[in-house]
This record gives sequence, C-alpha cells and structure tokens, in this order.
Amino acid sequence: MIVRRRLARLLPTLLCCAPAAFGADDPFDFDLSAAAERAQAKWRLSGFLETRSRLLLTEGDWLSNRAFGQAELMHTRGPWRLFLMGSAEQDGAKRHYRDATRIELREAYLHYDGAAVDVTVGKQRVGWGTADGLSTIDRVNAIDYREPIGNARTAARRPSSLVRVEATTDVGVFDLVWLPRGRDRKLPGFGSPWEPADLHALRRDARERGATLRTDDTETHEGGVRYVRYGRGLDWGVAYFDGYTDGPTTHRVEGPRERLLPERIRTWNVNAAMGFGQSTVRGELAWTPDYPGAAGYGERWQYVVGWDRVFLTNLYVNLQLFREWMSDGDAVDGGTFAITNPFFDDALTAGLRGQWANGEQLAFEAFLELQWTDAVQLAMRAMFFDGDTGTPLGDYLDNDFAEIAVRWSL
Amino acid sequence: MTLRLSMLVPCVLAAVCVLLPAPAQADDAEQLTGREIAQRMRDADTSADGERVATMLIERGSQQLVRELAMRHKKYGHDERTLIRFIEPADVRDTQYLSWTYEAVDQDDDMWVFFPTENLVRRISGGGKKGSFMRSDFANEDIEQRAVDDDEHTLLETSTLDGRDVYVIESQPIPAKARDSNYAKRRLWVDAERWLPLRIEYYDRRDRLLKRMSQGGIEEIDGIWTATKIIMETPRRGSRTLMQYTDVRYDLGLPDGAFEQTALKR
Repeated sequence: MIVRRRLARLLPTLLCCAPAAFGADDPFDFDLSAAAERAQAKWRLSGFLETRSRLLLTEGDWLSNRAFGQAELMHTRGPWRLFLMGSAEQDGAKRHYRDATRIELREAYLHYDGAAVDVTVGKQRVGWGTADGLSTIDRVNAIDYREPIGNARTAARRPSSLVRVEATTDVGVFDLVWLPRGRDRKLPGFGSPWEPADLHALRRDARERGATLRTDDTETHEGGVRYVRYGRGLDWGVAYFDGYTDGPTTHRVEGPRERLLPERIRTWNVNAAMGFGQSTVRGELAWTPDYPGAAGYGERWQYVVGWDRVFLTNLYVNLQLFREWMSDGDAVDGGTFAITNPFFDDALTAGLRGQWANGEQLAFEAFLELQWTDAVQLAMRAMFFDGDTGTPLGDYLDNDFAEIAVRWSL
Repeated sequence: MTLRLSMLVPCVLAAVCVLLPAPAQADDAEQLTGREIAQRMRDADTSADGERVATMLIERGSQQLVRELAMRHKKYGHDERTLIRFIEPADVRDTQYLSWTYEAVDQDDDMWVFFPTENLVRRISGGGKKGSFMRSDFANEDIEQRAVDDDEHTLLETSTLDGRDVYVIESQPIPAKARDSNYAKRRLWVDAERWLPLRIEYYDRRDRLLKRMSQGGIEEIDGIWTATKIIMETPRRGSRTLMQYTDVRYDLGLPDGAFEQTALKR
C-alpha cells in the first residue's frame, strides 16, 4: 500500500509529460519524444515504523520486544535549514532496569549554509575521524551505554547539543564544535545486561550499604576543533577534543554522597585516508596526555590502520587493526572487520562483521537484510560476545542474542 | 543499500555527459571515423555546470521500485565534479556522493560519501562497476563517463532511426578495460545532428544481446540538446527501468563550494 501511495505521488511526474500515457496502466507506455516536467520543492516529512525482537540465546528470554517509530521534519529556506527528528518506543519485554516507554527528541537544529562559513546550532550527531568502526577522535557524541552496541564493530552514540562552525578556506576546512553542557551521557540501569561489571559492583555495594550512588553527568562544557585538507587521492587532518571520558572513571565520596564521574581528558589526533584503485587505506594516531588508566594517570596512545576494497562485482571487505597503550606499558591490541555481499538482484544483503581484542574479547555478528519493497525491509541477525571477565566485551558474555526486525519507511 | 551504492558511484552524473547533450551540427559530406563520432558525443556538452533531478522506475515482474536523485555537476577544464543526493528510497535518503573525476587515465577519481545518520563524510574508492546501480537495469558502467579511448570504435553504417539520421558504431573495450566490463561490445545509434545516442545495445562475450537502452524526450535546454527519458531493458530477465530527468538546468554559475566536502549535509 505504501509503495502504491509513493508511486501515485511520483508517477504523475513520470507520466504527465506524455499525454498518450494518461490513463494507461503501464508507466512505460508513453511518448518517448515528449519532454519531462519540472519537479516541485516542498517541506519534507518522513520517518519509519519498526518492530524489533531480540531473544537472549543464553537464557531463552526476550531481551527486547520493541515497537519503534521515528519522524523527521526538514524545511529549507534559502541558506537556512531546520531539521527535527523525534522517536517513540514501547518495549514489551518487561525489564526493571528501564522504562517500557521512551520518547526522545533525537535531533533538532538550525543550520545556516553560507558561502564560506556554515553554522549549526542545536542537537546533532557529528562524526569525526577517518577510521571505520573504532575511531580515536569520534568524541563529539557520547556512547549510549543504555544499549551500546550499534553493530558488532560500532558503538551506538547519542546526538549532542552544540554550536558548530565550519569554515572552508583555500587551505582546508576548519571545524569548531562547542558543547555548552557537554555530551548527553546515558548509563545503563542497575541490573541491565549492558551494565559493565565494575559499575554494577559499585552500585550493588552502595545499595547494600544503603548509600546513594549518583551517576549524573557533569554538564560542563566540552569542545574541539579539527582541520581537514581534502585533496587528490589523499585526505589528512588534525583534531583536538577537550572533554570527558565516555564512561565514569572516578568514584568520589563526599560525606554521605557518593558520585561516579567521568574525567576530563584532552585528545590530540592526526588522521588520513588515501584512495588508490578500488582500495582505500585509513589511519589515525591519537595522544591523550592525562588519561586515567588502571595504574593512575598517564599518557595514552592509540592508532588505527584500516583497509577496505570491493572484490568481484560487489563483495565488500573492510579490515582495521588498532592498538592502544599507556605510558606504563598496558596495551590493548585488536581489530574490526566487515564482509558484505548482495544477492538476488541486490534485494538481499548478507554479511559478517565484528571486532576482537586481547583478553579473548570478541563480538561477532552475522546478518541478513532483505529489501522486500522500497518501503519494507526485513533484517535478521545473530550476535555473539566473548571475553575475559572485566573486559569491555567480556561484560556482555551472557548477551548473545538473535534479532528479527521489520521496518516500514514512510 | 548504502554500502552497495558506495561501491558503484564513480558515475551517475556522467550520464549528463554521455547520454544527454549535443549541440554540434553534422556535416553530411563529412566521412567520420568511429572514434571521431565517439569524440563528438564526448564533446557535445558545452555547459560549465548544471543540475537535474532523476527519477527511476524499476519494473521487475509485479514489483515496481522507485528511485529519485538530485544531481549537480561542474566542469574544471577536462575534469569534473559531481554531487549526487539520494531522495528515494527512504533507507538511503540524504545519502550523498561527491566525486572529482579526472580526464587523465592514470589519475584515480576521488570520491566521498556522506552518511546522514552519522553526519559523517568518508572517503571511498571506486569499484563494483559491473554491479547494478540502485537495483535498476543500469549497471554502474552504463552511466559512467567513459574516456573515448577506453574503447575502440568502428563505424558500421549510416542509417535512420525514428526518422533521424544516425551513425551506427560499435565500441569494444580496449584490453586493459575489458576486465572491468560486463560487455564485450556496445552498438550505438548516434544522432548525426545532435550527437546523442538514441539507442545502445549491449552484448556479452558470446555475442548475445544483454540489454537495450533507448532514450528520448529530447529537448533543447539552455541551448543544449538534452534527453530527458531513458529506458533500459534486460530482455532475458524481463525487467526494465525508466530514468527520467526533470528540472534540468545548465550554466547556473554554481559555486565551487557546492562541490566541496562541507557541502555534504542532510
């Protein structure tokens, strides 16, 4: 029905240029010698409805039974653009650690598109960095720890309220971002399967002592700046971000009050992406001089190198390696990968993707996405986690799940 | 869908150049070679820049799919920059591709993709030229701007098609390019006055007809002959795709900034 409505909207454009075709059922039955008609600009309202069920494979219990709707409204007038995106969800899987209903204004911003300077004010998602999956400088938006898995190689992030200025010059692009109240952090509820083990232990201990452990955010400003030079065969840039860690790292006891707080860190980054033939190579190097590690504060270094390429007709392969180490010698090595290929006239996409790191950490995902019609998409996936206790992925050891989702685009 | 598109987009707006324009006049007395005819098609677009909206209707048995794109291009000598924004279907809406294409054979094109959900600009590389363009009957190479010398061109005959004088030429990929193509040869019916291909047939290595393209809706827009409708049929599969261009405009004085990475926004 949705497809028919869309066709009904678009077909007049296709057909009205061909008088012979009016009234015909066959949209291809028109006068090829007639000219086409001009399209009309307008406000744009769009969105989708989705049902998604996730079954925990370890317990056989529902992790989520979600009905989700998202609406987007965009209006452009001259150089100005207004964009609003809101969502509502109802999760039928009864869980004590979260509300069954969530209504959120996900993005809301006003954008000015100038000749040399663009300005954005409002709530927006901003992606920085050249690496895929894991970037060392994609810090403008906080990880949504309530449900942190975007897919097996990428974290889910929340839009931030910000002021952004982008200036295009002859020597490159300067991008300044200021978040007056910091990033919008959300932590998982007590007892959530996505709650890290150490956070759960602190919360449980506080409960047993009858203490109140607050995890509210600092709401202190954050910000960063980057410079990017786009050119023939090579993009390179430098970036700096002064903000807080994604998760809480400090346990502060102030009399009867206990707080878990993120800590302020500064990250310097250089990055590059280079294309040659059918391949692209990406790399990032980051330095954080004041990172709160397990053995105290010290310098943290990170690098990511990646490569992706299309083989045969449409077989896409993406591989990244990363290393993260502290000045005291602690290091994490790992990587991310993705392999996808479309089948059946590109209606069905099958793929594997994931990440690994030392400590036996692994997140692995197999997925199928079927484009049933233009408006209806079916997706199935299974995701598996492994890792030592206390490692980021090891905390999700019991969260293996199978998922099926149906989305109707409007 | 997004990933598939990223593999397949060294092209699209090239359709603007390969399939559409053509102001030059044919000289009846002139005996042209196949290559000269191909060169005239290549040189036909005299615009400095332009924009258009493309709508594709894909028919596969009982299923119909709709695609809509907004496209812009600007020329820099023999090089060109193009920006494509996807409007339909919904799952790729606002995804954009910026490509800087170079005439020099040894210079790879530069391409960037914009993912609206992440508000992220990402460099990509060409590939998947044999693959389908947005699940249509067009392959990416069909709408890619081919350099004249990517093929060897042979004039077969002069003829008429739908009342128009045409040159019929056959174009075979040179050995270095043959591996990247679905086709062993293409046969083109080229309008002898407007230098537009009115029909193209695509053949495989066994000389079997794979696909047939017809284009029409030809009108003179801003002084440039432009085809506004293209039908691509795949007889063996029983499918066909109609691509229609609307809002076609040339020589708008588009700013350079419209083809920079900062232009990639929702």
